[in-house]
Amino acid sequence: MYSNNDRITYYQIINILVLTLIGVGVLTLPRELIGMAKTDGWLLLIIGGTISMGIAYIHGYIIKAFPRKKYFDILSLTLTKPIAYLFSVFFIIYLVGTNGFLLRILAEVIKVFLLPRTPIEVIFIGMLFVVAYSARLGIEPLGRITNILFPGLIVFVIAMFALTFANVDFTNLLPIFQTPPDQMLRGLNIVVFSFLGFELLLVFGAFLDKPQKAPRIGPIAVFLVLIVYLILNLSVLANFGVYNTERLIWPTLSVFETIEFPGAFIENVQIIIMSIWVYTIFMTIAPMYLASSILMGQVMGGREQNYFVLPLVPIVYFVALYSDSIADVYKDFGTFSDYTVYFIVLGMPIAILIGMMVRKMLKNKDNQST
Amino acid sequence: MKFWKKLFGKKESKKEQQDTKPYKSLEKNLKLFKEELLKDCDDVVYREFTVGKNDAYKAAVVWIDGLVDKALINNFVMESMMIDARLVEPKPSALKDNLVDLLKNKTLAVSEIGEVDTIEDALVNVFSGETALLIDGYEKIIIVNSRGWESRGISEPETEAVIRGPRDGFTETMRFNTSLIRRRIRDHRLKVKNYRVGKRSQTDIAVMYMEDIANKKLLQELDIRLNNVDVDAILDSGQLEEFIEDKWLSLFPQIQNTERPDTAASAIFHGRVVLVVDNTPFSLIVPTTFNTLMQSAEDYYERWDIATAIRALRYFCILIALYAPALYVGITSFHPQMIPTDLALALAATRRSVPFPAIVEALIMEVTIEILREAGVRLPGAIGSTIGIVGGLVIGQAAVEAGIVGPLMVIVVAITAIASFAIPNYNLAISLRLIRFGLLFAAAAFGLYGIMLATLIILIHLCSLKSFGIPYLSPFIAFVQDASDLKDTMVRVPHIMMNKRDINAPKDEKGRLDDHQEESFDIEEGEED
Repeated sequence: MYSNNDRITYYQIINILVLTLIGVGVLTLPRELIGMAKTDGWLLLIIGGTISMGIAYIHGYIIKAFPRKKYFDILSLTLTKPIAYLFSVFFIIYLVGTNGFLLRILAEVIKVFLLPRTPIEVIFIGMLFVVAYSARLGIEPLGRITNILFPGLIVFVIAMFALTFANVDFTNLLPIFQTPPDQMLRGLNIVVFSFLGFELLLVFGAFLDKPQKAPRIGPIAVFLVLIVYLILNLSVLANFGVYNTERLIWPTLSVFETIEFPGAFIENVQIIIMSIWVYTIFMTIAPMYLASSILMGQVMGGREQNYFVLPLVPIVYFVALYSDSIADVYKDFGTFSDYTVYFIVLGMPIAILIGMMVRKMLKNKDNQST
Repeated sequence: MKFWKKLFGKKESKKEQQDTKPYKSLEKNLKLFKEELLKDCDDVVYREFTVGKNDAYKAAVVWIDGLVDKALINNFVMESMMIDARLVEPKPSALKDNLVDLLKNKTLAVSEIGEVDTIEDALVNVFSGETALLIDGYEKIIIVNSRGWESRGISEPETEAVIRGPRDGFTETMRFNTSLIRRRIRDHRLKVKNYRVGKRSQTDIAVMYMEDIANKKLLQELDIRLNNVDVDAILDSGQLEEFIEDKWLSLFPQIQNTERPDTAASAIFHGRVVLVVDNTPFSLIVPTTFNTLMQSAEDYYERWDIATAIRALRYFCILIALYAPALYVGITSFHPQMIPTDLALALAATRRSVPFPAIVEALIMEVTIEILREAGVRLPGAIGSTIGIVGGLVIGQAAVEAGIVGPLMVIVVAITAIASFAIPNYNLAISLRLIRFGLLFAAAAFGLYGIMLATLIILIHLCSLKSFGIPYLSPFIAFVQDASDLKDTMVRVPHIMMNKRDINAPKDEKGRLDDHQEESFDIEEGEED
């Protein structure tokens, strides 16, 4: 009770996952959906969300099977130690890389909307140190901070969305069921990407106070985010229609620009949206950063994770500096994700499942022989 | 290194605590007092006398002048022993075997009496205002309770004044304070445990709690922390606070202090623990959350809807006190497009003659107001208010006319200062003053983005804080599990709806109120039918 006992509750982990899922993807998602499936984006979202929920269930199942075990220990138990080292390091590379690109996108957006004259490095160094500070304090403060931010953000986002529906043309949503199935399949790639973040459950699972509830956590989080995405897609499409949306860089920000408060004190709602978005981005980067430092600690065999926070700062900084322009960032981020995500999200859990099965079979054999 | 230091330190402190047995001979004892231990202590009074019909027994009393009730010593110690004891001849056997019991049980007409085995204990008692009675040929020292010194009467607490509610406040004497709390809790489950802290000051501390509602682990932890305080002196509860709080590097107070017995009693009813410290009217309450620092005693005595509105206002005041100058600086220097065009133009017009950037302008005014506030606190009342008028009105007006600061800046600074006075807890208010400057610099460097980053740091820090195991931001951080705790936060629901104790109470002791009101209404309706 009196030390930092590193336990998070069921609700806190759901909050963490939901806020992690809603990240940079939300800015561009409507445009990408339209690029893939025109007005059938909602269908694509639902299919992608369902698939993600399925994968998230597998992750939860693994956590449930190894309650209170560190991820590194799970890996070494099921897949032997050398492979565990390899996989963990790969996971760290994925987390650190993703963090770097996210940070860069954040800085680019901030630069455009809030601080046009500030050098981009200064912008993301500021955020990086806040994230590092939060990661040093461990998972408990993170769980609590989500409990404060979550209700506020949800209420705010819903209110904002409600305001965007002031003057919309719902005929923009039609026609539906026009996209051929093969194109749908190709679009799934992007949709599943936009739900990424639930894989953090694998790392944070060790801190759950009730691991038996783990399989539900991922699907619930994905489902909540799916609802937000569906509303977002609906709002953007109804406001702008297919052809306008395709030309917007950040359609999500543009849709909030349409809000007009009658007799408002505040001229520019966009800045407030930006502020809110900074918090959601923080809530995406901070858990990932924490997860990478925790994994580092496990790989190095350290008892505390907070010594591994500061050494990661320069690495993330250089990843963030890697690309030349905002277009390059998105391209490089896409390439990076293509190489890493599938293995992290799907490959590793399946490998663990196979390892579990092999272990079980061996055990049965031992039991029979003895 | 630290570990060794700790180990070493403990050994040292053990050496210091030597126990000296008193001698059997009175003369030797007195010599020890007069020429060794209490040498050059001219406030110590010794009175030697003889007892018994034949002056058979020698005795002496020792006390500190000014700390004792002299009438009590004269009438019930000296008179009893020197005159009354001579009137009746006791049985010789009683005299021979237990003279001391005879004295204690039959002779000394004093309400409280004790015995100590060592010189050190006797001295501590003497320094606390007791009288030591030494008898020739007896190895123990009798301690007669004779505390009685001049003290301030119970008066209205100055820091936590209320319009409606009790007007009594704690004083500098610990026993008065515990009695003020006891008067409000007539329950045998209210426990009062005494501690002595401070190697040289030996300050008395009373730990008060409700046995069944208070958390056992909290009490254990408090015991450990109080026993680990190894310092020369505790002069005020503020010093003790720093020694026992969780993170002393933090800006936020993690222990609440109060001058009001009703606030302390209410905390005890909620399962919290009150530490009454001698020599100060400020008692400590643990554990403390951010929420409890925002509550005023009056909230519970006013009507609930008024109290709710005032609570909400207070939280709004925190936002103003923290963010108003930072927002002014951030918006004027980075985001003028955020405010309506007319206002932006008006603002630009007022700032036209100001030669400084917004941050310098804000710093000039903020620092001025901090200086005024500090000067006002130290000055006696009448001059203090003059300073307020001179500073507030004249300097503000003159600064605007001289073109050093814009008029809007003066308004912002004034509102900020007033808003920070609306926060009920002074400790919290002063830490917010400091944080405001941090936000100001963040806003000057990064505009709104800087304010957001600074807010995140504050939030993360607050989330990481714990006060004796209770998260500092509870119940806001556990809105699902402990939803009923939210009834006493930014809102104060009617008392009849607050039927559960909060997070401090153990799980099986949550019930606080049995609502019989509905039943009585039912009966009345039945009668009408």
